[in-house]
Amino acid sequence: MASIVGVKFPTPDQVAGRDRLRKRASLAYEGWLWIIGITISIAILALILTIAAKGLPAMSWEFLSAAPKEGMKEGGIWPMLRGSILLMAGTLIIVLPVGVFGGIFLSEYAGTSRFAYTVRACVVALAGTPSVIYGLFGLAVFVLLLTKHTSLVAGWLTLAMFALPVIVLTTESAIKSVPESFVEAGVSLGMSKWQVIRRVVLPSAIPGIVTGVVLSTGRAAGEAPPILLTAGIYYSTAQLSFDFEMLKKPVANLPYHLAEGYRQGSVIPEKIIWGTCLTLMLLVLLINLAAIIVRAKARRKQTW
Amino acid sequence: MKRNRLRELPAVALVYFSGALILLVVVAIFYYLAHEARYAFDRPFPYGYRFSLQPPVLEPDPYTGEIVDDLTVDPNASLLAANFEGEDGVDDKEQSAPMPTLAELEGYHPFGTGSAVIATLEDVNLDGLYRDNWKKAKPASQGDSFYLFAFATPEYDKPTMKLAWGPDAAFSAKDCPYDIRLRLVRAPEGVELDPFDIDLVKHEQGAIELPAWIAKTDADRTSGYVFEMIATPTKSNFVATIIGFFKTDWAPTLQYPRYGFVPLLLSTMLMSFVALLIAVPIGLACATYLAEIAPVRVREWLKPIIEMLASIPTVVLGYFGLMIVAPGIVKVFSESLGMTSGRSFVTASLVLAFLLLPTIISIGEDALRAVPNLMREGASALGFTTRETIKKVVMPTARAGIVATVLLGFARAIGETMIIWILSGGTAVMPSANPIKTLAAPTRGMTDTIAIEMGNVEFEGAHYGHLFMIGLALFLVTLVINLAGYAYGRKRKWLAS
Amino acid sequence: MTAALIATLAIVGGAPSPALGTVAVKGSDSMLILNQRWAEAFGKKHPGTAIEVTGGGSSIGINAFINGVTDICAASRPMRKSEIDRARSRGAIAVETPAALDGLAVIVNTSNPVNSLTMDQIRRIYIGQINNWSQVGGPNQSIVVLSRDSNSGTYGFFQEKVLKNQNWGRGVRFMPSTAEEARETARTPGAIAYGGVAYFKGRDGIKIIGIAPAEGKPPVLPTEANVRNKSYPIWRYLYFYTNGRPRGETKTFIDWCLSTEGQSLVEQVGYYGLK
Repeated sequence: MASIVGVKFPTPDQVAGRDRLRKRASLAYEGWLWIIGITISIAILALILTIAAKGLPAMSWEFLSAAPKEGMKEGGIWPMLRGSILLMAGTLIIVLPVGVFGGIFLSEYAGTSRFAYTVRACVVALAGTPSVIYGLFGLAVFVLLLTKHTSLVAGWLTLAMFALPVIVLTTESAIKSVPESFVEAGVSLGMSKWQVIRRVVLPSAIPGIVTGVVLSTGRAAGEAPPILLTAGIYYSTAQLSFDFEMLKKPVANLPYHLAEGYRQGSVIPEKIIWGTCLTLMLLVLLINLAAIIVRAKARRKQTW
Repeated sequence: MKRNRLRELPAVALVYFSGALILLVVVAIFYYLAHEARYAFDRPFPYGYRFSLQPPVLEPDPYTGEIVDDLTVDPNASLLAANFEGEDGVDDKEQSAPMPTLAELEGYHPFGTGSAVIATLEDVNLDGLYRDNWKKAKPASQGDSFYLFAFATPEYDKPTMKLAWGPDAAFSAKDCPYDIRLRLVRAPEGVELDPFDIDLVKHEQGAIELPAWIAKTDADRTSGYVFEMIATPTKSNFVATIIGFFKTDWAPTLQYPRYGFVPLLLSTMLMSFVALLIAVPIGLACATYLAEIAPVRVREWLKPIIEMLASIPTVVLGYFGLMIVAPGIVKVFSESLGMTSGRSFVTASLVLAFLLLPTIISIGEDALRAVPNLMREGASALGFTTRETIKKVVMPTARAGIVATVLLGFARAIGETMIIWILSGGTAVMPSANPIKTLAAPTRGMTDTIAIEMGNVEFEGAHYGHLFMIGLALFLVTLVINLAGYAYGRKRKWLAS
Repeated sequence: MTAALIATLAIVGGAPSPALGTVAVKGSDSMLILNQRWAEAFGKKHPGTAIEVTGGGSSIGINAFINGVTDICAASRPMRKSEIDRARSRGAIAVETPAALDGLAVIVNTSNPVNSLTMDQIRRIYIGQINNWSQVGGPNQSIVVLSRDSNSGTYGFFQEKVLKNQNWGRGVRFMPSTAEEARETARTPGAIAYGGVAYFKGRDGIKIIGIAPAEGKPPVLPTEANVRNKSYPIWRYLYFYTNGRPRGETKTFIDWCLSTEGQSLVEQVGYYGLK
């Protein structure tokens, strides 16, 4: 046995003193975390409010509904807003089936096979791939190889690739969060695997899926580099139309407008740029809000 | 039952197809980035030297008082250069500068040099001599040789003259895959001179003193000194391109382009690193606060606010940084760091850190929440204070998740484009060894280089190919970091289940 | 959800438009604003023709031209021979039409007593050989060197014409736009910058300096007359490239741009008209 000579046992007083110190340190630590948490939130709010305050003077119905004029110095940003919405809608339609089916694959069919592991690793890798890489890919394949021209379609495909991994991941986790008992109930009723997925799992997972899809499309709509390389246009005197021709043409959109506005310096007045910033931010926030509402509504219907 | 199965087949096939498609996307990205990057390997490696005759002693420079023999601005120097991308033999501009005649030089300059476009010494045509000789573009695996004629005019009265040479503007012999030599082919009659053979790569700049030789008639101009510049390739184009890519100079628009992407890589890494240094402690503290301390009601308010930041497009954040943060930074640091412009390393890193916060907070919070409550309860049963529970129990248990958080944040920072583009200042130089200087200096990363320069490259040319090489490097770097983060993140799975 | 989607598309879309003639103009960012101005004014006169303006850079425009997907390629540099060859191999014959003149002015802060520099001094400042104003007859103050970033045609042009293809000095700061350069110069006493002349006209805090083409020659200011008669050393053309001689609506547009009316717009955006 080792000797314990030289070790002094603390007196009760000392223990109490140390405990007091420990408690105090803990309190200080908690206070510090409170400060950090609140400060960050305030900083973020301040950032958003600053953008809002800078952008609000430009906001008006005309700003949102008119085309730019007088050398982009006046008028509105309707073509860009419209372009962003168009880009988003198309991206959504393209990415939705692949993303959801991919999520189903990962959660229900892949199991623990090597293939499944590879696919999952791929999704994770794609989710963290920089957007400019998608832009490069879109430029090389959708623009130079397939259409020879920047176009709405090229933008859709590029953004769809960008949005895909997040949708797959959220779909997967949404499906996984459906209680196992649901699946068991379905199976016990003699349903086939696909029937269980189609009739039981998917309906229950819809809120999570919708949230993921909408969030990632919203993020894609605000991402500038892929659009810069594949789909942007600065100005057009053409009347805005909705037809097949549109697909083959580049489209004005908010991130591109901001990037160009920044590149061209003071040509586009600061007020309009701030207004565009605010519009883009609001667009994405509104989409998120929509996702939250959809999720909440669906949640209310859920009984588990 | 069987019929049912058949009816389901398309749906199930679609599911498998989607899974395969994801795999395909990664392969396709890799394949096409590499596919386009191959244009980088078609690059010809241009080289160029200027030669000029000079009196033995030079005049001092009017600005600095020093004696500078910068041949790139010497109007009388001859340029011997080859392998220019897109240059097709002698272009219009160069053809207008033939080798000077004696009459042209009279009263102006005592020396003349020139080179034959068609390099056969036997039948030199006096009308086909040019001061500047540009050869057609060739890949690095082919060499070339030039003849150079040199003479002094009858005005020249000193017994010796100097043949000076130097690299053409921005040409660096060390970076080119050639062995370039200058040798004496022929000395004029009556001049005794040992033949020489100078390694121009080793002695990039220099001069050699020669006995003066004076041309009495225009025909004499080619019968005096004749030198030859010979370039022989030392490496294959592939190897030379790879080596060039890992050099420390990014100057793709130069006539002698340099495609070293190391400064871009380093800047990206350093900026991301500094951003992480700021964002990780704050973000983790905030995540700890949300996961461990904040009352549910407060948390319900704070979470959406933080998620709101995550949804702000980066181009908006960048603009915010430019208009609000950058001027503030200049005000704060103008004295201490000697900053004159807000577009700098430190601004970009700061805004980048802000961008990372929501990512780090939400993944970090997940990691902390994955620690089972049982452990916290056990800790408090042992009399641990909140601080001790967090520091000694929760944090160590969640370590894998936290490491994953940091890695994912790192990958996100490396891949960010717009913030870096708008705020970094755009100068592609190696970070200086002095950290303070680096912080205040403008810089440039990989992502913004791609986004900025893609608009002004010749498509399917060498510069275009190198931008795709950077893309490929970026893709691989983020891939590795993401997968590492993913693998680390999976480690905590046993805790959660 | 589907209903919402359809409703969105309906709002976003609008009615199918009557078949319009479209002229796509694509290319140089230096010409983007000019092209936009032209398109806007032209659109008012010819509502039957739609003009689409896209930037991205001269090379983006030239590439679109080579692939035959733009009617007009706007370029702030002449096409390289290899590019012309590539276009020809795909059936496009590049026809060059100068559309405007661009004189690059060099500016300094108003507090700077230096009123002129030689081409060689400017070169040395930009490659980093001269880094204090006292070396060129100014106060003892270090020079803050500003440039456009490598996205712009102006950058390449300045590097070729003034720097004689030498590399930029270490401390050069690259700005995304000419306006940004002007703003930075106005608030930095030791700054020097360059850019299209008209950008700098009438701005506070900066002054345009004269440039001597060579040592010992008198400095020349980038006035309209000096740029047009080419006595000012730093100038270039801005080009339109078309496949063959312009025809149809493309010709109408280019002709209009070159008309007195079109050229009067040129100066509003910072360049000089051809006439």
